[in-house]
Amino acid sequence: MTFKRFNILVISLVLLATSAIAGFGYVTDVYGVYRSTRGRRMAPLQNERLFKYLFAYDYIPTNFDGILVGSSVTGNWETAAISGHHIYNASLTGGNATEERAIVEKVIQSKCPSLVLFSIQPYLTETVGKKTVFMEESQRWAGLGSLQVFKAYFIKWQESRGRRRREFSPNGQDDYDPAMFNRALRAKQENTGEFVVEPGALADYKAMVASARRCGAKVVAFIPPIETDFWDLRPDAYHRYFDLLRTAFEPTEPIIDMNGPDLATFRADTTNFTDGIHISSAGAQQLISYLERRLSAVGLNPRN
Amino acid sequence: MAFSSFPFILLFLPLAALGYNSLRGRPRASMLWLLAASLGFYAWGRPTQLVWLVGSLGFNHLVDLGLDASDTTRRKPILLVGLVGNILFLAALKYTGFLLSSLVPLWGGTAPQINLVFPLGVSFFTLQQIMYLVDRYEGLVARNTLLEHATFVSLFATITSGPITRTKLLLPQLRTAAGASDEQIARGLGLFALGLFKKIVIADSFGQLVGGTSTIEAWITSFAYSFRIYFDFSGYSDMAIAAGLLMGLTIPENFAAPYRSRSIIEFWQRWHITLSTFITTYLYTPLVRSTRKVTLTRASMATLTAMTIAGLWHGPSWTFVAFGMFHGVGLVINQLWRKKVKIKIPVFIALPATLLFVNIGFVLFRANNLTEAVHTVRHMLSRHPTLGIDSLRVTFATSGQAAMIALPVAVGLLAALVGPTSRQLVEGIQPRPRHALALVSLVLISFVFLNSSIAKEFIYRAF
Repeated sequence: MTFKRFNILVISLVLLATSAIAGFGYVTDVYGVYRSTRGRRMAPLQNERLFKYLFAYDYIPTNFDGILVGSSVTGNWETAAISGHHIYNASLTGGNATEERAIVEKVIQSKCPSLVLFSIQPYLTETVGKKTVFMEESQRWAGLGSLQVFKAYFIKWQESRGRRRREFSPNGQDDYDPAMFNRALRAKQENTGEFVVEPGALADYKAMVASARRCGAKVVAFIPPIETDFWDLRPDAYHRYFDLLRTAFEPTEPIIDMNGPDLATFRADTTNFTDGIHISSAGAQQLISYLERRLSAVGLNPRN
Repeated sequence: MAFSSFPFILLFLPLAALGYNSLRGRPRASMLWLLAASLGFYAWGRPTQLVWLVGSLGFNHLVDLGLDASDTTRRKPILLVGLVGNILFLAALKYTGFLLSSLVPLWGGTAPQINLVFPLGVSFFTLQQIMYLVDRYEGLVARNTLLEHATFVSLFATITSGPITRTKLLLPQLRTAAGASDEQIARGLGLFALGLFKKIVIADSFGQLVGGTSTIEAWITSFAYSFRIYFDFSGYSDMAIAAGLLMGLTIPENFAAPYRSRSIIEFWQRWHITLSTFITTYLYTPLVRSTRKVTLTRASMATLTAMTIAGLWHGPSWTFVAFGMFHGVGLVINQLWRKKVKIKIPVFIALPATLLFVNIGFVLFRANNLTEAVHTVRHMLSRHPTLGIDSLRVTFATSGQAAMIALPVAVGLLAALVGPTSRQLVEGIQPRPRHALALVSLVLISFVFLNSSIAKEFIYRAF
């Protein structure tokens, strides 16, 4: 072989292989950013920040008319059980208001949802800024060939062969293993002090709510339940925090408090919680039913 | 436009090389093409910085014309004007804020905040022009035309971060416009693939290894940075040399397995070789010559001074000054050891000791300020907590790519400490299918990493 042929071979192979990898990425389109996602059922394959952010470009606005905003506290709530709406659970494990804002505003850019459910939860405003490099516009290219997308192919393959449990549903629910929230997190709930509120995060939270309101979405807030034992450690701190977050909402916007008397039994039952704030799978089902009832009560469930 | 970006790799470089090679044998046309490509490359993303480059080129060309004066008594003042002009140009653009913040407080004032974004590659293209003027003064090179001078200085392959190239090496090649042979193109492709792999896969994987509060984490972070900067800069240099090769231009080597050095003197013969050559030729030697009698003490003082200036050249910060002084002291001790003590240190001690010294130097280089550098060194020497890699684990868990980083890091360690150099690998390229497959694999892996959000900017791009 001459050097000339060698050069032609190298350049041709690079172009061919690059096109093949990118073409495969385009066809499989695991992030739903290259082809229409209408009618497709797409679940995050780990790296939920990347998936949920990229789903916000097309998959969520095309296939859902509502979004649930939250952290891991609401991550395992299966929103498919809420009738009358197709709500995507955009909660992120360890997520904060900056990250949730990025998802919500990206969805709004494509289509305004009819309903946005905002959870009021201290973790969302404890830190500011994205905790990942994956929630950026540039990630749209990642689907054409990247470590992330190869990992996603691998997970998909493992799931299809039954070698891995499907963690996420196409509605964004994260059926996580409660054991991942360890003792350290439980110990954190035993803190009796005030909640840390990062001003930037609070601003992001308010801006996210304002964006939803501005585009015409129905805004509903809800305060997830806290296990009674942990609530009793610092009720005043909780009240002060919730009062602060209420300022993000207008008086006409419903705020569903799950720490009231009607869920007292639920909150007193420790089996409904894994660490004081994270809800067990069984508990999450009850709460979704409760949320559905409360939404009906404020006229947000067309079925009723 | 960075070398490690898809627009550069897939569009700019092939077009620039194709255009240049198609004009082989036509020096003026090929230089015009190269100049246009280089100015386009330089202006990409920040067109305004072109003003500084063009201004610098114009000034140096005028000085160049002045150096033609037959009256030798006028030549020295003209050279001085050129040198002072270049130094002031660099100082004004890069060091004004630093000088003010360092000097004004001495008189009890408060320095104004000046955050000038200095033009890309200003340190490099200014050095090249200083070298040219000195070489011209000493009669080592003939006068360039403006086109030649502008093409040489603004060459896209070297303008952002070197290798710092002397006119007498590059200009004859530009004047010949021979273009690249098929073999040069093959080696250029190979070297570019290696450089890209070193930067994107290895250096940026080392770049993920940061953080932590334990002693072991402090050491891991510091060594990771030392290896990162090596692969980052040598990867860049490989790509620059490769870009030259693709056009048939030979650009000097910048690295020769520096982490296998057995002394600090040897390290600087293997690390950023073109800067070391500049320091030796244009700083150290004139400093030594300026003394009436060369003694070991005076040579040591010259070494310290030259290295301190070289440190400051990296950037407007006391950490770079400290980095230069630290290496200056290391070189002086090394020189004294060779001349006075004369005891040969066994390799198994000399090699790790040199690496350790270099690693501490890079703690200074990496720190945002001297306090941070001291804090890091204290951390590295503290006994509590000694073990534990919890924070590093967190970094990995967040990126979710532990396994994908571990392999490049292992490859990097082996390559830096025992593997063949880029030059050795590229010289071994033969037109065989398995060599083609190896190159293609390197490129594809690099492309995947490049598209994977772990890619970072070249460290030396900031200088």
